[in-house]
Amino acid sequence: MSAARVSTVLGALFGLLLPATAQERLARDEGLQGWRAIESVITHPRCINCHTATDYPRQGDEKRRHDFRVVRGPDGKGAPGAPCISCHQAANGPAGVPGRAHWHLAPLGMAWERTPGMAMRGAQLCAAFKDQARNGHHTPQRMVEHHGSEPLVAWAWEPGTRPDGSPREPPPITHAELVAATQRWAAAGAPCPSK
Amino acid sequence: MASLTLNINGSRQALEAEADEPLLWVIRERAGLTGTKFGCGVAACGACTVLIDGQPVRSCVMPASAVAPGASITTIEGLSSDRSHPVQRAWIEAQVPQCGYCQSGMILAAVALLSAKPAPTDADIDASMLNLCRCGTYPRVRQAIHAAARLATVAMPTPRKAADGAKP
Repeated sequence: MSAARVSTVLGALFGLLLPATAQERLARDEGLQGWRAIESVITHPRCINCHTATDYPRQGDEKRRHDFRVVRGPDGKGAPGAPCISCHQAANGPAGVPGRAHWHLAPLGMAWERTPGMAMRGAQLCAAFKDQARNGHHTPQRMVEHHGSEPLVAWAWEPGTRPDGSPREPPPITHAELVAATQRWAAAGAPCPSK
Repeated sequence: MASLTLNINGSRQALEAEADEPLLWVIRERAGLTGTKFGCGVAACGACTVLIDGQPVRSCVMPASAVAPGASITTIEGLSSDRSHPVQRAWIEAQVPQCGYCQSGMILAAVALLSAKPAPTDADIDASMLNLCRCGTYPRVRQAIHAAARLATVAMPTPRKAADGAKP
């Protein structure tokens, strides 16, 4: 019997022997572990720089205000005469300008900042993340899909190079790990940390 | 080299270009339209701004091969043949340019703004006009945009229908 098979059987037996509350606690712990992985990504500069609570995007690992005082604009796509796609093309450019199709800011409802430049954390971030009145009516399961299929999310792992030629840093876990973590979190009932 | 067909200022042109050649160099070197300027090469200054289907684009960072088939490219040469476009008239009236190098991109950015906001406020102008000018013409740029708005409701420049047959 393979090690994986043994593990599955033992897991099932273990599950049968555990009281319901203990099983729930295990599931919650697993979901919270998934949440912590999600948090490590969505507060990373590659993500939060466009999930701002401000009327402008940020840039760089230091999350500075976007050069040239670029603004959010009425629909999150820049000002009428200066849309994001003026500079941000469908692919990263050799001159260091990041690119992916339909470059734009996340809606203000999906801002992960508690105050300009400062990311929400823990319970506050988790509550905002799963609040469907704010997050574009994304159920936890839709968040799994969003993380898996949204091209601008995927860009964070193909962020190209800075103007000086050095590579931009991707989030601390892989894209596949983010999707798996979001799946675990959703499957566990989308638990949030207590603080 | 790759073959491209671009609709520039209403003229459909068959051009040869490197696969990743920026639109700026195709416009300047292959099509011979030198009104569009190279400034920084990193989409920062806006001197290379052209309109693609009315949207301002920094042509120095856009590969020519990424231009959608059939898209209309408008350069400063295509705005009018006789400087009669309201923005050009306002620019001349306000004597905006000093050295002039950035002005073709600045004018096209202004056209895009006025197409979206026919009567922009100062705040609209500040938010939209991100082009850089080393001569510091910004006050006159603002004045000229207000003047252009008064001169006419500026329509999106509609390039002339591309002539049949590719121009070599």
